[in-house]
Amino acid sequence: MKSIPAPRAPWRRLAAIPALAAATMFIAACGGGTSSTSPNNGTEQNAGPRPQATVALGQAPTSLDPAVTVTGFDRVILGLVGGLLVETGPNGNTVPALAEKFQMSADNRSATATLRPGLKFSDGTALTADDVVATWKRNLSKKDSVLASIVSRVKSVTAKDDRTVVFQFKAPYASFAQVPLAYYVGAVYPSEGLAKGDKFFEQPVSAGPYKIAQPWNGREIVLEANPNYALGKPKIQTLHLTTIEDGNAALSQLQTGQIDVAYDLPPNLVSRLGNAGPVKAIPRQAYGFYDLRMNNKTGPLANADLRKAISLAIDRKQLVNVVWQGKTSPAAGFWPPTMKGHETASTTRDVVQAKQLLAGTDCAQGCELTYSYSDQDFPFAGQLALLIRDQLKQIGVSVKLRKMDRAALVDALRKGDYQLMNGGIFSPMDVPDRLAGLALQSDGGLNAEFSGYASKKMDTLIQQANQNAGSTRTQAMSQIDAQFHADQPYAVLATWVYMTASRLPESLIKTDAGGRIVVARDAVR
Amino acid sequence: MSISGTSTTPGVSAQTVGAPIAKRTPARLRLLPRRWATRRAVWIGAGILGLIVVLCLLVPVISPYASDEIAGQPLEAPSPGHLFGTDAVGRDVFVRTFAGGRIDLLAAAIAISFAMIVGTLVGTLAGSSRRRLIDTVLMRIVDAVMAFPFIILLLALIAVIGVDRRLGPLPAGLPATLMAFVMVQWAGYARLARGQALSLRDRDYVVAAGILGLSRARIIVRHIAPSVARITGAFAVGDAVLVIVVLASLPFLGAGVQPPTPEWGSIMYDGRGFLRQAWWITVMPGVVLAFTGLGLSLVADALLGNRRVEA
Amino acid sequence: MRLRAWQRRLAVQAAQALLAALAVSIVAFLVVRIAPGDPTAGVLGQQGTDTAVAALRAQLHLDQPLTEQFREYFTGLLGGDLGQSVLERGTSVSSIISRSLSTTLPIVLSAMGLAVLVGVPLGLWAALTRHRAVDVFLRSWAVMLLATPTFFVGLVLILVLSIQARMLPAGGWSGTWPENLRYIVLPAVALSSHLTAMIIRTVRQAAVDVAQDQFVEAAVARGLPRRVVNVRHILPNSVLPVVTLLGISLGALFTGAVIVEAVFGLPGVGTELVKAVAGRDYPVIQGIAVISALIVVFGNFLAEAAYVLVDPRARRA
Repeated sequence: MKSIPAPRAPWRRLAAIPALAAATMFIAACGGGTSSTSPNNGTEQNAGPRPQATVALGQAPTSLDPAVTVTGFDRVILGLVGGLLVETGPNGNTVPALAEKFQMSADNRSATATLRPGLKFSDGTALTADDVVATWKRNLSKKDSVLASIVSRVKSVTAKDDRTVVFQFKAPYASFAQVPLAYYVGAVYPSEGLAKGDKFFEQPVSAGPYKIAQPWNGREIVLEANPNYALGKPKIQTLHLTTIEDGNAALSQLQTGQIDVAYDLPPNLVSRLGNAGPVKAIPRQAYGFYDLRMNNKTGPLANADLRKAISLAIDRKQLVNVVWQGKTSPAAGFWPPTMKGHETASTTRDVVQAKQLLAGTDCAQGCELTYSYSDQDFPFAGQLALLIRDQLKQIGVSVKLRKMDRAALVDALRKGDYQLMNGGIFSPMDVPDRLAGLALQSDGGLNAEFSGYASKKMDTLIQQANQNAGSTRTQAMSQIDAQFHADQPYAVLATWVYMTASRLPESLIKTDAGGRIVVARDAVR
Repeated sequence: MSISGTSTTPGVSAQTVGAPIAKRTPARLRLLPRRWATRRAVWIGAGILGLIVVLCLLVPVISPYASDEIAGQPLEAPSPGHLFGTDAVGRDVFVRTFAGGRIDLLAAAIAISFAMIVGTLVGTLAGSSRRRLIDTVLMRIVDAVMAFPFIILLLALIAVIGVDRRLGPLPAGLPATLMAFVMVQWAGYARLARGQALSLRDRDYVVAAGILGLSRARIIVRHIAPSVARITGAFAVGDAVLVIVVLASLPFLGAGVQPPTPEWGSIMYDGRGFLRQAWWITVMPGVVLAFTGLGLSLVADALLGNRRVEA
Repeated sequence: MRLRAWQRRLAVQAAQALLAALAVSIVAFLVVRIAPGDPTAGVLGQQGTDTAVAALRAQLHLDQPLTEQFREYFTGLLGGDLGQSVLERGTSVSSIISRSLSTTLPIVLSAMGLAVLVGVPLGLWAALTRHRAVDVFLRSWAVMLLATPTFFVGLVLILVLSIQARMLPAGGWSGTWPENLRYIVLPAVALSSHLTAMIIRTVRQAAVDVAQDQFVEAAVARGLPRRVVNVRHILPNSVLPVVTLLGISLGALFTGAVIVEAVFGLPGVGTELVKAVAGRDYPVIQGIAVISALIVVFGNFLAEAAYVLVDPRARRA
């Protein structure tokens, strides 16, 4: 009954299987490599009003309490729901918003805002000067609030009458109207709500273009147009904001239409999107820069010559081409090209001069430096690290890479346990205060972007820039730039860029240079 | 973690029943199966494996590029100069794949060996012991270990051992990963070994040996352990590919070898951001990984004495 | 009530399962505190001033001795309270876990179902077919599948079925049933790939073993047709090891779910765990450790119970 089958040649079949599998993967991936030619949606060029849109951000929200929140997601939401007294126009000028009149005193030590009549919160209750005062009282008095460094220069906020608010500052505060007033920090909340305590911010009532229809449920947060908004209805009625941590997943969902906008994608993904398909890449250069942080306090990098040598040895053009696909510009000076006070600095690589500078340092005969990074903060961090490592080899600096996870990196930063680290900093507005305060000021809260750089001269210049306007400010900013080059606390690499990818036209919804998502509004009354 | 599949039911015999005791020699390790067809499978599997090992040893040596060196333009397609193309910064993927292969194969070998030895010992002990308490306690520990979320253990070990620590030929980042593996993998082998030991315990020859007066320890060492070891050993060979696959997935959890050390998983993970425009970065190491798995599995199957049902 | 031996055994195993889960919770508590960085790193990130960090630590009771922290945690645990998330202010850990489990569980269960529905027939076919080529093909295919990382399967599925063919969504989650059925397909298929391969191999091996057994020879000798022999004798015995395999694989499936959720952007337990680990959200990490341990351990227990119910031989004390 049993018969032994004639042995065939199984190895031929065996070999066929993996080859077939590989071929399938090849074809699939190859086919997926070309940009998808999907039919035009029709709505893609239409800047008209839409009932809804879905926006994906890369980070989950943590809190809607301005005194607590630190993530970009939270700030985007707060920017959409917050009712601001003034806004910043395209030229950097102050534009009235909830306040119909805003006036800075001649010495910049106080400011007066007059509210429009008949203002209402999203729940219909009236918005008066008392609410502004109550909000600011909280901003100023909340213990251990993250707002501290932003609002610390405000002395007091009082209501002169139902519609007039007076702000007093500790020292001349020329940029007050931009930061904090036109920033999410300046949003007004109802005094009755604030009296309820921190719980109020689980679903806060606000006075901005949107209100919170459904708080974060683990997947998304839903915003609806605020019918009581004083400045006109936003053109998108309902906004769904969701989190997609993986850039690939976000791009895929964009291409299938599941989401309409991806706020900030890794640059290498976005470079493939041409102008053909419904999904377009919209890089937006911001008020900030990416940099290579250096530990000025301990280790070989305490020597300014070594820092300058490294800055000279970096090939910024290669970095911008490979990492950012040419979508941003190389930078070496402090003020980004998007801001007033920008001065062109040479970004050309100069290995010869770098080596000369090395001569007097510990690295004259070559040395090893540790480069710590995490790809959980910046998705391109790995690529950047490898390129910089390769570039620094040419001046005899060998780089040891140290990849860590986000929390470990923060821990190392706080302890000063690093030598080189990639980082970046940006400002929400075109004013020098925030950027200089965080990145150069010795007591600005971030330890000069964790470098430990402390220069009295720089601190004085920063104060000059902050407290003055006009030509005095511009001059101070120019001197700051010069001092930055002289001391080189770290190396600026390129201008910060938001890589937004969207199926919707920019005229409808866009990312501005401050990182805000802005939805177009119907005509103002 | 899971083990390659085969019958784990105690009592289902995989050996011919009815042959006289003297003829069967279960204590000896039978390396080559009797059937010619399955022996051919061994040679094919060994051949594939051998080829990959040879490539891993030779390619990094004879290639004009170092695995670390930026050798061309980024994201170049495969060409005669770069057989597997270049990656996101311009390194040659071909030499990186096989340099990484060294690490993966070494890591798999170490992890599996340790896990197998520890697991077999524990499982044999649990299965052969006459005292139920030992069996129960050991198996509950196995349960707890298998229930523990891997990522948390990995994180802790990376923290304790450090992300920079090297150990001999092992690159930075790997010692922590390997420890995490071993701490988890052994449990599966223990369970398997216990099952086998349990089924062997009641076998005629074992009972006979007991009656003949052989000491408990002697029975375990001479009769039970070798059979168990043969089974777990065969598993280990097939399991090695699973270790490599899990290693490949580690960068998703924030772990893995420290760059710029190549390793199949890290290369594939880094390449996934470029899958649309440079599929070769992820696919090529994946294909080599799949072939390695095929080779290992053919050898493992043959060692297990795989047979087909005759018509 | 007098319990039979096997019933007593199962009850004891259930109690031991609980103990194992408890042990896991203790270990998790200790283990997360070894890693560098603490919840303040996750919450305040790089913008934490020293005063803010100190204040937050005090608020979270991180400055208290370890024993005190553990006592607080344990009493809460025994009372069923898993604590509050540190990263997501104002949300309890249990609500985070329940909402993310409502995503992960359907996917894991679908993956298991898919693996069984596909793997068992294929495994039997491989074992019982007369054509050696089929057997070789299926075995090679199973091995290739085993050797392919889950994320790669997921990415290829997205490329082919979502972007090219536009048949299924490229990830994401709807939150409402039955829309979710569309979103489950690709993640479940990707997650099931390893398990399917293992089931094919297990069933094949078990069927081969059983077919050699004497009782099968006896049945054939008695004149029973091949098909009846296959269904009545070989099939049940081949499927038994699958039950054990499913139990063992539950842990691996949850680890695989982490990766699948990352690839498809799903708001599941894996995503929450990765987020919590990156931000050192201790309560969430501990909570997920306990819950997932419970699930895995009880999954094993259920597998053993099912095995006992199905196989009469195991009921012999």
